[in-house]
Amino acid sequence: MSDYLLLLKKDIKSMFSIKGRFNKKTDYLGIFISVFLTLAIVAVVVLVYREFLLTYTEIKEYGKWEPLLRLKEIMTVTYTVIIIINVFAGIRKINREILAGSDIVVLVRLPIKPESIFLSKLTTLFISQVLITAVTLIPLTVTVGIVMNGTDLVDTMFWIRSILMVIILPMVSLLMAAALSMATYHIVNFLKSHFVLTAIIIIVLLGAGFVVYSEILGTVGDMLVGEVRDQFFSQGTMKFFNLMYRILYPANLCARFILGDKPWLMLLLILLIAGAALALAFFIVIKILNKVMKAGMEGRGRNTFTKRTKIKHRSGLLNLIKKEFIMVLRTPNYTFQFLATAVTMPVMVFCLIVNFSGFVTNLIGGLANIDFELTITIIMMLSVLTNTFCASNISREGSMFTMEKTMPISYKQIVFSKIIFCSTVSVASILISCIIACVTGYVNVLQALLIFVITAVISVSEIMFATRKDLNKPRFADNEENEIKESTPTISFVIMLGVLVSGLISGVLLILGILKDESFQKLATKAGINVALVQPISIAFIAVVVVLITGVSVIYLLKGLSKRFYNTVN
Amino acid sequence: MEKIVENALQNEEMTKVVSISHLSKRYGKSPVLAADDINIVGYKNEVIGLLGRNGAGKSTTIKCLTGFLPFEQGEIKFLEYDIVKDAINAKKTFGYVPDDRSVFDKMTGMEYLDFMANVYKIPADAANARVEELQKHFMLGDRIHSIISSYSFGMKKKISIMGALMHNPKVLILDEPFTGLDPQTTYSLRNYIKEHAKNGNTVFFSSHNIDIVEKICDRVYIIHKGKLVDEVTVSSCREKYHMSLEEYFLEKCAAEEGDE
Repeated sequence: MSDYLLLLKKDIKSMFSIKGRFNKKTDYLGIFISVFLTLAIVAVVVLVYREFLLTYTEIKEYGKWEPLLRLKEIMTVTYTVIIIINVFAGIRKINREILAGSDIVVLVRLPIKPESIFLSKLTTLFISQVLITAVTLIPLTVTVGIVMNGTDLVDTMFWIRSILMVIILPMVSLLMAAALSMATYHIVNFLKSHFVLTAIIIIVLLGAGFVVYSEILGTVGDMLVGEVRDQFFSQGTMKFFNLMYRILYPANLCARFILGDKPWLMLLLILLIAGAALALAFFIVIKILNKVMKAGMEGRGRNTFTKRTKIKHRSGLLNLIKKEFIMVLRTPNYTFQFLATAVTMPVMVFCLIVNFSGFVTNLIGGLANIDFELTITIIMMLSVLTNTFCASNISREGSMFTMEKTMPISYKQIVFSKIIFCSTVSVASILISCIIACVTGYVNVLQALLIFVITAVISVSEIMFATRKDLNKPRFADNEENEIKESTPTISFVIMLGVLVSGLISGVLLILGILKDESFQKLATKAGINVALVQPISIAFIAVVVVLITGVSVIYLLKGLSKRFYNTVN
Repeated sequence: MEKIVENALQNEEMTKVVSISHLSKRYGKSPVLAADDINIVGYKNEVIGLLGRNGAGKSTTIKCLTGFLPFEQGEIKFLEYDIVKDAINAKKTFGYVPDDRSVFDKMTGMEYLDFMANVYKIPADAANARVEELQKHFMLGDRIHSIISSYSFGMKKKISIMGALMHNPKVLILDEPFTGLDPQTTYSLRNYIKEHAKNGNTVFFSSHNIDIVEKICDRVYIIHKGKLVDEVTVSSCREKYHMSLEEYFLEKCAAEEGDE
């Protein structure tokens, strides 16, 4: 027990310790972006959830108004979603911190019972799950409380039960995560040696995920627009939610508990399920861990990738580009960040145009056609975000950056091979996106060509800028895999700059696009804008910005490149 | 220091392959020079050792020598090529094995050698034949086709050495090359180093293992606190000073400490 408490104290200390986390190398901008995005997402979710609650609880089925039943249905689905999020987070954590954790390998050599190690690790996981649940569940429960305020449902007990839910839900999700982690571990081990298959799976999952995401986004958009709202809350939707309420155990029990429907009985059932789940989770993980550790010590589970090749002649630049490709393809993290994102970008562009075209047109009262401006905005934003991967172009080399300096390769070849590789992938992705936008009729050929030229030039400029920025202050990985696993200040900076620049261009174009439409001409004239000049102004604005961005990026990249390259110390 | 000049004059007739003249290197704004007026010469058919305590300046010297670190003063030449002014040609003459087993570990061993062969522009047929030849010495066997991330420490070192030897360099620079190698490969590498030097090349290496340095080096440079304090031939240690290289090195370091 004392071992367990000692290890738990160590884990909790490292989990919450602020000391050592904030230093010169800390990515403050990245932290700011993460916090800002989390808050923004929570705010949007809360707003949509509130809207949904208000509408859904008002619906009468067969002429009968049953707000409590509606709430139970909503809460069941809400808890299910949170359990699913927790399960994914749990699988990731169990795999990363227990099954593949380097900590364990050190600890097993010490005179500590293995059970103590497992229990302390799982308890830490449980605490982190409680925190995730708190962040996701509390805003939603508060929304329910606010919406239903003044009814019998919201009393002191409601808030106490809400807090209890934050502890109960992770117990259930931890079981599912533990049960699935073994299978996940084996799949991950298998995929370790199958890079192309891994890349295909990542691409398919990312593409499918984005389609689902854009569908949800479209549905939310429809839900917020009055006319479409009635279609959304059709008989089918109601039946679906009702079915979910009936079959999704134990989320439906949780919903009944929090809404005060036989709360003591529900609590007893939930605690029985959760307690058994937690005990089973501990048991499963201990069993898994014994197997995994034995396999690890025997050298099984290692990457077994083999490829029989002969040496072939290729040019210096091609040699370096091939190396870049291999590095990205054989590092799942990089495949996801860059290759998969670039490959799925056309799908993302298509989904976003389809969903946003109608939504934005509805938003501005269906008066203006701004498909061109919207397409350029979407393609530019997505390509700019995909290219932020290039902000680690130098850092990714790790210790090999030193070695390359000792080889008879010019620094220009090394830097340009990276820029060419990233640019080729990025420009190809932009080209396909433009073709799709053109084929689906959202833009004409001339517009597609214009979008391609503008976004491709901005994209390449960003890659040049990001590469040089990284060279100025590379952050080489300090792990055994030589892999950049976390965001760096350069990556965060490039994200911010990319979003700002493309946001500025897109914003101005969208405004000009709305103004050029006949319906807005009166408004424009009233504001003292000569409508005839809007199109030439748009083109001139784009030309100036593109030339400026390209010029700045080229100068920034080349100025003192040699000196910086050889002065950058690994 | 007199001895260094004397030896250099004696060796003037020999073919100079690598030369470091008045090399000085300072890290940032540090008041202490990490390398202070270092002068080293390497001739054809020679194995040269660089000895020194931890932090003496061996790695800094090697990093400057290989073109990895810029330096404030001095000149480094490989044959007639200056490492700063004619970097590409200078780098073509040497192969470098770092002490940290740096290799592209997402490549297979063969892909890494393919990369190195193309860096040094070796024709494909010659490169494939070279791999077979190197395999006889370093014995990676079939694992040469496996991904490097699955290699043990020693195997990574082997592939790193093979990569550096792909173009049969005029100068082979090794930083702690024997760390992590099994006895068989250590023996094999030792013989290879001697053979490589005998074939008209120069080998330059730093090591903490004085026994190995004594066994394979012809000449040794001793660095202490950034300064080159002595140059000695291994044979003169035994014949002239009647002591082992280890004893000579320790005595030299103690004397330097005493002088301060």
